[in-house]
Amino acid sequence: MDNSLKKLQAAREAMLPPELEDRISQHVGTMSLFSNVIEVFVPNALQVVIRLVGGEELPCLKKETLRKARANMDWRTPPVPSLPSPI
Amino acid sequence: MTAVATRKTSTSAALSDSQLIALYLQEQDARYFSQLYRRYAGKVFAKCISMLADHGMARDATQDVFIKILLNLSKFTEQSSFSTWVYSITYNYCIDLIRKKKKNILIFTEDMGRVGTEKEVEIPDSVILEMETNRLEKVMDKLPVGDKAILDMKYTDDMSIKEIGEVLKKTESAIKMQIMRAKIKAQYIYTDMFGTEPIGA
Repeated sequence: MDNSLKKLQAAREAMLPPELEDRISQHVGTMSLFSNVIEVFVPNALQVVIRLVGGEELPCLKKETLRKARANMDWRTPPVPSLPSPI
Repeated sequence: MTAVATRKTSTSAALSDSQLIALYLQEQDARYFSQLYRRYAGKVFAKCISMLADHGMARDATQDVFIKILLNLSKFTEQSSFSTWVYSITYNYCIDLIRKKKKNILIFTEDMGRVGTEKEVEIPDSVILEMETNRLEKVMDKLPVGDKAILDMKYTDDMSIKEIGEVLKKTESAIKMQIMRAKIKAQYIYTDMFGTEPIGA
């Protein structure tokens, strides 16, 4: 048989607001999404920083490329990929 | 819900806490965390309401405790059981909240000094365990928050003295002493409120 403290706890457990589960689920969903975003973007961003620190001149940051990109700003022309593939 | 999702939900109910944590960290699937929530939310809420004595505050505290659990899940090492870890977070969160509200709050009976001048005698567990529930609720409300928590851990969650010591970061002998003092204090409060009426009345 349950003791009085357990009975008291059971009565309090029954008072748990049901809407709390939805609120927590929203947070869990946001956290999962956030961690996925980090997983996708952080390695690439780090790679770019490492290459910059290492002294590599990235094509996207070359003056000519930037000037060319500005000159080619036409909605009919598809954009040219400026970053080399990380792989 | 797809067939895979239904299968995941039904199988997650049979998994242990450690398995659920490992799967959640691996797959980032919210269903695994929801299962942990369903297992512990009631208990966490009951603890918050017992310590904070306010329904609204207890609801917000439960939400904050679970967000803390979510954010620190990867730091959980299996040195203690998951339930002990959850109760430890709940206890510390509530104590911090109470301290923020009232600066000079007394957490344990021993913080008040000796419980009167009388000898510390062994009080039988039945003083607490057989008390009529409504009366017990009133007596518990009058106890210092740390005493309430320690009695809850011992008699509601059936935690060992060692586990309680881990949660409160105290030695086993200190915990034994605090349990004894909490029982003495509870008996004093009962006598103050209800005189010599039998506890199970």
